[in-house]
Order: sequence, then structure tokens, then C-alpha cells
Amino acid sequence: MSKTMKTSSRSYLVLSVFLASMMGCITPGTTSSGPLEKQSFENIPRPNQPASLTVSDANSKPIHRASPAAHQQRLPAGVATQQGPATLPPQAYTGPNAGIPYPAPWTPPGILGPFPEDEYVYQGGDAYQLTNVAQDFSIDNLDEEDTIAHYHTLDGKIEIERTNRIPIYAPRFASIRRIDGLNQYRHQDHVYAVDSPLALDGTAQNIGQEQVKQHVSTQRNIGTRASSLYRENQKLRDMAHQVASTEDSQMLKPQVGDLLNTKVNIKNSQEAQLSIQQQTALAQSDEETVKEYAYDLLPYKILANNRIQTNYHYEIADGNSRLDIKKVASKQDALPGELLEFTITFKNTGDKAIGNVTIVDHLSRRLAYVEDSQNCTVESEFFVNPTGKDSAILRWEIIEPMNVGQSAQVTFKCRVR
Amino acid sequence: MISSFQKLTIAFTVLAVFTGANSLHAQQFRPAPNAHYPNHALMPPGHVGSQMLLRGGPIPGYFQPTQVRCPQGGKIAVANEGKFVAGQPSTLNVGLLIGSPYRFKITEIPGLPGTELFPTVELLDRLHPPAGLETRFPIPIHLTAQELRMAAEGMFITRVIYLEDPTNPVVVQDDANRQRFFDVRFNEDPLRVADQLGRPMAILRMGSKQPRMDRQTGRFMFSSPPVRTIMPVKQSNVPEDQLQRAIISTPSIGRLR
Repeated sequence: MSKTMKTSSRSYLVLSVFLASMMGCITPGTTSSGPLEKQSFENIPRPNQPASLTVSDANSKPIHRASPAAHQQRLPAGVATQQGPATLPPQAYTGPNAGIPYPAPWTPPGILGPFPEDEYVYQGGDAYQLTNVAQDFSIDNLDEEDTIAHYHTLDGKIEIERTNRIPIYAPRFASIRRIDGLNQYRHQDHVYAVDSPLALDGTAQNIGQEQVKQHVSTQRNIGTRASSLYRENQKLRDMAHQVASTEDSQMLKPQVGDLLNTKVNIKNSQEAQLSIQQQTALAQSDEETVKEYAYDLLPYKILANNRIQTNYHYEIADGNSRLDIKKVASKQDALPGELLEFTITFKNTGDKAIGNVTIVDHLSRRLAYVEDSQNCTVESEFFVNPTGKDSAILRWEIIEPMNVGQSAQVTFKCRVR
Repeated sequence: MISSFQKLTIAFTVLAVFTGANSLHAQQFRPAPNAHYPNHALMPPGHVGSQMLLRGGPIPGYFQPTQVRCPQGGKIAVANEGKFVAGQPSTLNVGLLIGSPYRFKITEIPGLPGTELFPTVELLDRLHPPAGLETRFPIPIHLTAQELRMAAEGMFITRVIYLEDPTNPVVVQDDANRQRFFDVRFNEDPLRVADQLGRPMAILRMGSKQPRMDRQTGRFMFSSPPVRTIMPVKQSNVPEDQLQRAIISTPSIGRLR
């Protein structure tokens, strides 16, 4: 009997808890929030609820949360309590949907910002191909958006410095429009019917092309005869080398005096010296004679070396040549039609003077240079070179050399297309 | 009399000619080696966008700011909670969910008294602006008076708004309040062309269909997906003729990198 009552009371308790939970889900004033809602809403104050009401409290005691009085007990002092229905939960409809606050910029794992790239216009740096400047100041591989500076050092070398890369958030939109009518729908069905047999013809043709490839491969096998001819050439070289080695044998030189006359390209004026040495060799032992003849062969080897012709003599001064260049934009985001002002600052941070300093900026096609907007703090010549892709290359040629520690600045404006 | 060898030669010749002809035919009409596009801009509203949700990323639950604009004098409203609220003059800035189709209502159209149009807008993707710049860079959907007139006459307008590839832009001066558009032929898919020129962001469909809403299902309004109210963005005054100018020629398609 007692066991039956205990079971029934337990069932009633479970049932009452379940009903209370269900009432909590549909009755205003209760919440069924999860951890996600706690993160999203707990810091957002609502106009018709106390700021101290937290979702975490609702989860801890779901049965008591069903009572409006429990809400009113948690209200802080000074906040007017409401009569009638309990305070709405945070996720309930309370007027115009304010939505979730915009999150921080998101990037996929493993990808550094800015993301995504198609929403940004880049300017500066030397991306993609590496820029090269030749001795005649011609520039290769200057890609769009690149900004570089090149200068001459006192050693006569051309050095290149790259600026930093600036991302500017400037997405641009366009649209593709299609207009359909009743007559145009009929044409569309006709085109679809023609497409299908064309695909079948293309599939049958692929088999025939594979058979043609086999004939080509057999012709290549005939061409392998060339390798046998190459072996014969190697044999001839080996034989010539062996003959030369016998003639150059030092063991035969002192014994056979005619070998001296076989040396090639010996001037008549040197014959006397060689004769003297030959006589000396006869008077000395065989070992010393061998040494002298080896010494006579040295000039012959040095003359055959081309290293002397390719050597250059440099006089490198002490110190380093270095140019520090930076580029900044007036804004980090821009709508089409707005103006951007760029500033390029460069400074001779080395310990030697540099000359022929030239700043080159290849504008993006999204940027249009505003005429007569450039300014340079030092005397320079300015050029605008249009490219074939409707972009422009801006170039400043600094006239005077830059001394150690000297800096300058270039500014110009662009309109975002 | 033709010998058997000559017969065999003729047979091989005929076979070779047929094989060569088929080869030329296949080279001329081979299928384009482009990507497969399972979606089409003329699919029902919500079909393409719902598939974009399956790609992952922070797309679900994000209210992408969108700017719908019509000629001066008209009013725009969006379906919200089963009804159209009061229309905003000329420009409406709202935050829309990606993948959910939205029904708009355009009234008081200049030159078309008493005409009401109900276009749909379906977002396919979102922007990732720096923090605080979400409403400064909405997705623009600008309707012209010509499009509204054609839609009222029974035409069906499909516009795919795309984010232009910055490495291969069309070198024209754009204005913030003017949206360029290119007309494609009736047998071309605007969604596919937009994907080749950039990143498709939204699809606008507009005809002359009038509401016959099923009050139980709310099908005409697509059950009124939630919207987020956005404060109007400061706009500059642009003459109306500039908003309606179109570029007819189709630009070259292709990416540099």
C-alpha cells in the first residue's frame, strides 16, 4: 500500500514538473533559453524588462520562474513593477525586430584578414610579380596596385624599395538584367531542344582522336636511332684524349727532346730560354728536370683560363644605402565617387647619399587620378603614364640627390570609380 | 572493272573523310569547358538562396543591410508580419536574411498612377565589412522607371546584383546612388553571367503579378521572414536621368587572377 502511494506520488511529482515546464514554455514571463541565447542577449537592455533579469536564473529554477511574483522579487529598487502579466522574456516579440548585434568581422580559420579580398581595393606594395628595374630605368613586372621607389647608390647600383600594401574597403556592385516576355519564352524552349544532339556528336568524336594518337607514337620510336650516332661521337672523343695524354706524359719529356718542339704556340723568342732550361735539365738529375718542365707548363695553363677576362674591379665604399618608404591613405573605406588622398613618405635612412630617386605608383583601375592634385615637398618632375588597361602610372623623379637623413613626401588624390 | 584492292582503297577513303568531318564538327560544337551551374536565376524565389545556406560560414542569422531604391516619388514597403507597412519614399534600407525570399511593394510610381508592383528580393550572400560599417555599405538594388513600366506592361524583370571583381573591374566612374546594369539576351542566364563577373549577391524578380494571398499559408509573402530596421543612410542627390542610364554592351568576361 505504501509502495503504491509512493509510486503514485512520484508519478504525480514528475507529471507536475512536466506540466510546469510546459507552462513555462508558453506562458509570458518564463524562458526556455539555452546557452546560445544567454550569450546573445544577456547584455542587451530591454525597455520593458529589468536589466538585472538574467536567463541563467531562469534555467536554474524553472518551476518558480512560472510565477510573476518571483519576477517582481528580483526587480531592483527604483524600477517600477508591472501589474498583470509577467515581464516578457528577452526573445519574445517586443516591437520592431532589432536583430542580433552585428558581430565582429569574421575570417575563415587559417586565413588572415582582410577577408574577403573581393570587397577591398589594394594599393601599394609589390604583389604578384616582383618588379625589376634595368640600368636604362626601364621597369618590368610593375603590376597594377604596385608602388615602388628605385634609386642609384654611390656604387652605381640600382636599388628597389617597396611600400606597404593598403587595403581599402570599397565594394562596388553592378547587376545583370534580363527581360522576359511571352514571345521570348517560346524562343528559349527552341534553343534547349537544339542543344541535346550537339552534345552526342561531341562524345562520339573523342574515340576517333584516341586512335590518331597511336600513329604518332610509332613515329617517335623510329627517331631513337639518333642515340646510336651519339655513341660514336663519344668514342672519337675518347680516342683523341688518349693520344693527347701520351704526348703530355712527363715521363717522356726529359728522355725525348723532340717533345719540346711539339709544344704548340711557342714563340721564337722563348726558344732560347727553353733551350737553356733543357741544357740545365741535362745537367741535373732526372727528378729536378721533371720539376722544371712542370713549371714551364704553368704559363700555358694560365693563358687558357678565361677568368682574367671576366673579373671586375670594385671599389666599394663603406656604409649602406637604404631608403625607407611608406604609403598611407586618408580613409580605410570609400564609396564610389568619393575622394581618397594618398601620402607617400620616403627617407634616406642609410649612411650614404643616394641619387636618381624615383617614386612609381601603378594605380588600380578602381582609382582615377585627380588632375593637378599631386604635391611633392622636394623638387621633382611628375609624369602620368596611361596604360593599356585604362589605369595610370604616376612617377615622380626627384632631381636632387637625397643626403643622409633627408626625407620627402608625395601626396595625390584619387577618385574611387 | 574495279579490283578488290581499289574497292578497299575507296572504302578507307570514305571512312577517313567521315572521320575528319566528325572531328571538325566536334571541334566546332564542343561543349564549353566551364563550370556546371545547377542553379538558374529563373528558379523560384528562395531556391538558390537556400542552397547558399548549406555552404556554411556566418551566413545564417545575419541581417545583411540592403538598400532598395525606386525613382523619385515612388514608395517602397516590405512585407513584415503578414502585411505591408507604410512605404518609405524612394529608398528603403532594411536588413534581410540570406536565403529567405522577401516580398516588396512599390506604389505611387511616377507616370503609372494606381499601379502597384510586388517584386521579390532574395539575398544569396553577405558582405564582411569592418566593424561599424555594416550600414554604410548596403547591397544596392536600384529600380529604374523603365523597368517599372515594363513590369507593369507584363514583362518579367530578373536582375542579379553582383559584387564586382576588383581585379577586373569595368573602368567607368560609378556613383554611390547609381547602379550599373548589363542586359543579357533571353537565352542567357543572368546568374551565370554575374558569377563570371564577380560574386552574385541578390536576385530581384519583378512582374505584374497581383497578390492573391492564401491567408493560411502566407505564400505570397513567403511567410514574412523577419527584417531588421536600419536607419536611413545619408544619400547624395543624383539626377534621375543618371539613375536610369544603362550600359548596353556586355563587358569582356574573365578574371586576371
